[in-house]
Amino acid sequence: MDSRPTLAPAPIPASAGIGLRFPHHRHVAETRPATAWFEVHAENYMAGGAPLDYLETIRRDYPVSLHAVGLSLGGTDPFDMDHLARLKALAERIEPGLISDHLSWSAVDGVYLADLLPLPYTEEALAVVADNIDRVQTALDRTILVENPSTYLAFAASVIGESEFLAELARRTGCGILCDVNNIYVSARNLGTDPHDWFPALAGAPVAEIHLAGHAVRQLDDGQEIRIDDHGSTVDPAVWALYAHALGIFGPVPTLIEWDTSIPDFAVLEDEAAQAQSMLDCQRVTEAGSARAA
Amino acid sequence: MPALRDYQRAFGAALLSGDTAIAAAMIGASPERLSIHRNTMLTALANALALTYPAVEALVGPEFFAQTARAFIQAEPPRAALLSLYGGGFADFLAGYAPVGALPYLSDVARLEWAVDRAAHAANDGSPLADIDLGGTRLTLVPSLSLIETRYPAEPIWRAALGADGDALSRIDTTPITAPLAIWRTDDGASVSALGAAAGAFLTELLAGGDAEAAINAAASADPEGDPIAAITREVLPAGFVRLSSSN
Repeated sequence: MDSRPTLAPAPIPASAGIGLRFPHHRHVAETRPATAWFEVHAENYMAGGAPLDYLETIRRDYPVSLHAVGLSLGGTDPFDMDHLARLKALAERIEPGLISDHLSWSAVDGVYLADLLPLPYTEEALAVVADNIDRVQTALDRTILVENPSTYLAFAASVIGESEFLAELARRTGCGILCDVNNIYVSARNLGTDPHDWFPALAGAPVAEIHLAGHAVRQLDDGQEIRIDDHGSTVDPAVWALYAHALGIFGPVPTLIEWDTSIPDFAVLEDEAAQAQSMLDCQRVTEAGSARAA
Repeated sequence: MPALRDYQRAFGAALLSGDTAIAAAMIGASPERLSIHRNTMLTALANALALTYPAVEALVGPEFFAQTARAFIQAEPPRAALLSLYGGGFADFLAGYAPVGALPYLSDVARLEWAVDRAAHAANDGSPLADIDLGGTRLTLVPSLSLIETRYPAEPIWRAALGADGDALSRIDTTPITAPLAIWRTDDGASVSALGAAAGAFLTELLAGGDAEAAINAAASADPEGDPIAAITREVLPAGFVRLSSSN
């Protein structure tokens, strides 16, 4: 009894979009705000019910990107084909413009650890992640984007830089890269590196989306300051500045505002998206100017 | 240098046990930084449980719930990357969890909340359940319908807990009583309806694949003193989980 109409493909535009969360389902479905596109956490819709009904309704009016957290691309367990099948079924239903997950792992010995856990950046890890990305891309019959995670700890065994690691993954598998500018900033501050050093290895790489979000600053017991990407506040001014730097390197790419804890009124997200949009517009003007000058 | 799998096993063990020293030494990082990941994991899983079990949380209070959730996570960590499917064993866990021994009905409330959560996630457009002819009227049941039996009056306790109505809660007689409950999906969530023994037996028989005659007989044996047709007419036919149409 499947009478759902097929959705026309809707690519994600190089504009500012908003991460759609449950408290805003009704508002978006009923008022159809002027948002360029939405991204959702794929896992929140895999169980069906009212959330999936909302997403299908909203997808009729907007391009939608599926952002997964559960593929465990860096995992060494036998690949979770059930989860991949759930993602594929959702993608067939929603016809997303993009599908993404993270450069991390989240399950071992069959237990799902509900966090995006860090990898040592080694040749071994590179082979594991590339293999898993291949598997996902073959099953979905499309390329996915892989996002840089936020990090609190550095592995002594890491021998490859994170952005070099991502660039090599893109070269080996054809995957795209989702550049989370907040995560770059958070990781760099936590590990005591310069966030600008992250970018050169990815100049010319297929960066197809940018994420922006707020983070929290906490004090550890030993007095060290640590930044946690809790997605619970407005984008930090230093992250906006780093975003401008990223746009200068990658050009205008689809940019998402994410907010996951203490979710505010939708209007607050619209304000953040408007700021990203004005910076995207600015980048276009700059590029048009340099094209004329050349 | 340990292999990636050895790192992950040590990391996973550290997150589940809270003993982060060994994994931290393998990584070359401070145990405190590993604990950030443990906190993220525990918070995500406890939040997922609180979303599914809001009445249990209201009945024991958020702090005690968080503690209980931690004990459950330790005993039954999730096996799938889908947190909305996590926590189906919580009712059974609570039944054997000594610190909640003073609230014997808590496990039944959890059983009801799990059924509510399953119904809320059911598809609206699946095939209807049962399909019988009742004297010229065709009766079908919505695809999301499930029935559970509780030993305590879980339904009024659940309602009062969700309504944060302490007065109503204190007036509820918590003496054990077997009560069939019907749970089904509505537009934005799920509904629960308490049934009498005859109506419960009627629906149980239909859900098991029985025909109209078998279902009415089941209703009659469940309440030999009562009138099964009257009970079905009163409690089943007008219910939100029933669809009636003309047989012709």
